[in-house]
Amino acid sequence: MVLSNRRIYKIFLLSFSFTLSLLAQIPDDEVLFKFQYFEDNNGVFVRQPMGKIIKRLSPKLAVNAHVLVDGVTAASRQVLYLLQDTTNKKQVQEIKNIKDGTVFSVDAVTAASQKEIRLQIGGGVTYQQGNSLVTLSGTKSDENDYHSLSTAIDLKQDLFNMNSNVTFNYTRFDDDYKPLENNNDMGGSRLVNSFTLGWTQTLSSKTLGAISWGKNLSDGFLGRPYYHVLVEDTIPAITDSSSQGGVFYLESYPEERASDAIVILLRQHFQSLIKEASVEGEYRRYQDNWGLNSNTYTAEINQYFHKNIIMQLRYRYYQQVGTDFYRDRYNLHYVTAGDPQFISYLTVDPRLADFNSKLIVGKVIILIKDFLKPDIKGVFAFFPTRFDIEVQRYQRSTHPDAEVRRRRYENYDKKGLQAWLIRTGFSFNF
Amino acid sequence: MTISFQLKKFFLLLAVLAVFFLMNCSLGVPQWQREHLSDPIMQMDEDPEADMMEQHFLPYREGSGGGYGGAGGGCGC
Repeated sequence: MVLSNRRIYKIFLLSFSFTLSLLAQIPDDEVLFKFQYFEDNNGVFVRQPMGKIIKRLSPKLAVNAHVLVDGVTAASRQVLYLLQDTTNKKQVQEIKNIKDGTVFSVDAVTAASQKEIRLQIGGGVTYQQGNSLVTLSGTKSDENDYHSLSTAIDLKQDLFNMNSNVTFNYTRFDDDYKPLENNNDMGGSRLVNSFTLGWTQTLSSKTLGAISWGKNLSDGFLGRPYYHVLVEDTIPAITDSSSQGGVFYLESYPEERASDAIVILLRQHFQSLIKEASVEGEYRRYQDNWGLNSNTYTAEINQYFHKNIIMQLRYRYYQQVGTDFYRDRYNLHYVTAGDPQFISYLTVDPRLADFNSKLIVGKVIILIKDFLKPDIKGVFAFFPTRFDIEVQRYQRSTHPDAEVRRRRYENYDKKGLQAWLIRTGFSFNF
Repeated sequence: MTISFQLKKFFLLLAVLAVFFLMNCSLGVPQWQREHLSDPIMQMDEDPEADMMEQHFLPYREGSGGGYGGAGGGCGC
């Protein structure tokens, strides 16, 4: 699996034990299972089981492997609306594609599957040399219309008597997104090069800080092959959500994207009224050459309720300014070359619009192994080491008028996109 | 809320300087004073697999990703 720099942080922090003299630490042997259930008010359901094993081959070498399955139901819902509009014989004349400034008709449209299975497998090798840790990993992901292969290298080096730690991650993604039975020049391949540089620092005996910078360079087909934009013949009232006569165009996107993201976080240990606790504040800034930028603010508190039971609460607020070329609604001005309102790209992807979102997370972690007395641990050799369960509530909202217009493409109501996510997991050390 | 580009650069520079200032204040936290730092509640990533799953979920509901390292490929959307 691809190790994030956060995972490197974990390895870094685990090494702060009195009994360990080295900062870099090969992870322990472990088997873990996760299961995630996701449901939103746009008709999407995802069931996601995952298994992973870590095996230490020597004090300096460890390998890991994981398998993950996504069972997605009711994906690509907009296709249904398109077909429904056609069935109802609304004034949809034809479907067009605009690419490289040229507009041409599309003979047929391949509908996305409403039920998809995505299989992801991955593995990695971690090697320790002194206070340095290097990990090579790869991940392969396959579904009926999307194939992805990613390879990564992670480097970590401690500095200043193990008070500082520098991490570097490079990941290359080779993706291929092609509709089945496609003969309409839809979809395509993309190459993404991702770089992340991080610095973690002990700021006091109770305070940790970290800063990281990430750069993504994407090239190729960066859009969604199934999705369409209705370019209306008339310019209706801004709050009118009814279907108008017009022509469907395939969405079109730039073929290059460069983005930068900076993350700064602080984590503080303190003694609460109950037991020991920690609080973390995180700020993330993102911007790219599509004109999209975002600010993310996260606050997290971890509280012991028992020496082996931790309660975690997290609140995340995300604020986004959308891309330069996104419009809630399109008319002929936007696709008429020479018109002052002409824009080169068409998309109704709500992820590229102005919006904000909130994520609230509640999680309970039970460190089971520590409940067991050393003399009976052998009896419970196959008892889980750790169990956790979390519930997440996600809400994405925009301006009410925009929601009215966008509801023709999505199924959610005025409240915006709302989702529930439940995730549970347990692990064994062996 | 709209913040000018110059102001954003200023805040960014301020944050970086603050971090490096604090680093210089306490570069010498010895290992025997790191008891609290080794506590599980101080691990910035106590559950990396959950983070990986989350970093796959959020970018497909929002327009931006990155800054946390690679998170595996695939769409699942």
